[in-house]
Amino acid sequence: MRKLLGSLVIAGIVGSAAAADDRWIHVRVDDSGGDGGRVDIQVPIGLVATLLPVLNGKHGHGGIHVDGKDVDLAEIRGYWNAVRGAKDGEYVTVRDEDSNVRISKSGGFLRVTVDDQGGTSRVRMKVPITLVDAVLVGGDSIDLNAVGGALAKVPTGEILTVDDEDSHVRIWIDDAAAPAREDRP
Amino acid sequence: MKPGERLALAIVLSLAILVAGSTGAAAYAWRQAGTVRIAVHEARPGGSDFSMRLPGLLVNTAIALCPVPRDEELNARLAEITPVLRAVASRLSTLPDVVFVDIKDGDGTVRVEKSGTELLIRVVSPDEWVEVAVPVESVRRLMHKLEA
Repeated sequence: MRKLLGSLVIAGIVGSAAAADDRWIHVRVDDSGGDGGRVDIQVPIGLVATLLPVLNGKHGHGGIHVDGKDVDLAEIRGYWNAVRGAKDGEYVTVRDEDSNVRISKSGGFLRVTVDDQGGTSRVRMKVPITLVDAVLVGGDSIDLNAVGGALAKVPTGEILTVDDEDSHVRIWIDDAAAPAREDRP
Repeated sequence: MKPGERLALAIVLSLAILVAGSTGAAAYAWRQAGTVRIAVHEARPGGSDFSMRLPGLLVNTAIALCPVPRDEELNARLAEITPVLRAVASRLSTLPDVVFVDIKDGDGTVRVEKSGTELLIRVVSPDEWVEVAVPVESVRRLMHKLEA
């Protein structure tokens, strides 16, 4: 599930928005285990948008992989159409011995919550419905131009946070670039 | 002062102003164009230590004068990506100083940032250290040339 959600978000990042958008999309990954590595990426949404014509031609095709298995976009699109057309509410609730998963739709957002039973892992995802629509609007491919247009309309704020015992991932949109972490006072 | 001396003084002053103005303009253009820097340092014993600095003005002149290779396949590829890269380069010039990519793990770091008028790429690993700095204006000019 996390890979699927990650793919959606990454597709959103790659296919970002209108050139006039001066907001920044930030991706931050902190590895708390082992060598304590980290990844900080921040790019103006408008700057990434200029790459769309190239990326759309070269990498706009393909599917989504969930736990190493190919998932048919048409299949996902079918599920999504069913959810999109329905009223706000909680659509998926899974409770097993490993985790609690909840997928809901409210206020124009698709919300995904995954909590590990041991309390060591936590996923919070809040994706605008228009963005999911854009990801799934194409035929057998992801239309990055459409994703870009939708991302331009995503309000400023958190898109994804993942916390587990080994890593912390955060993706958000902000009005300004953040200083490099080691440069901060 | 005799008329001849006045004339000579006027000529000397004019030449001095011309030389000073030209030198100032050249210095300004030199500074504005920045510097292309490439530095590679291998940490192992006997490893190479390479450093090169090219004035951006020289690079920009070379970009303007050098012909673009006439190769259909290459031109087709360039036609596809150069407008995009040129737009990116133009957009870069309007951005404030910022770190775009900062990756750190146990083995090293990778950093891509815009610093002043330069795009700076720095890769540090236990074995080697690489730094490449390119004036954004030179990138923009190159993309414009390739697109033409």
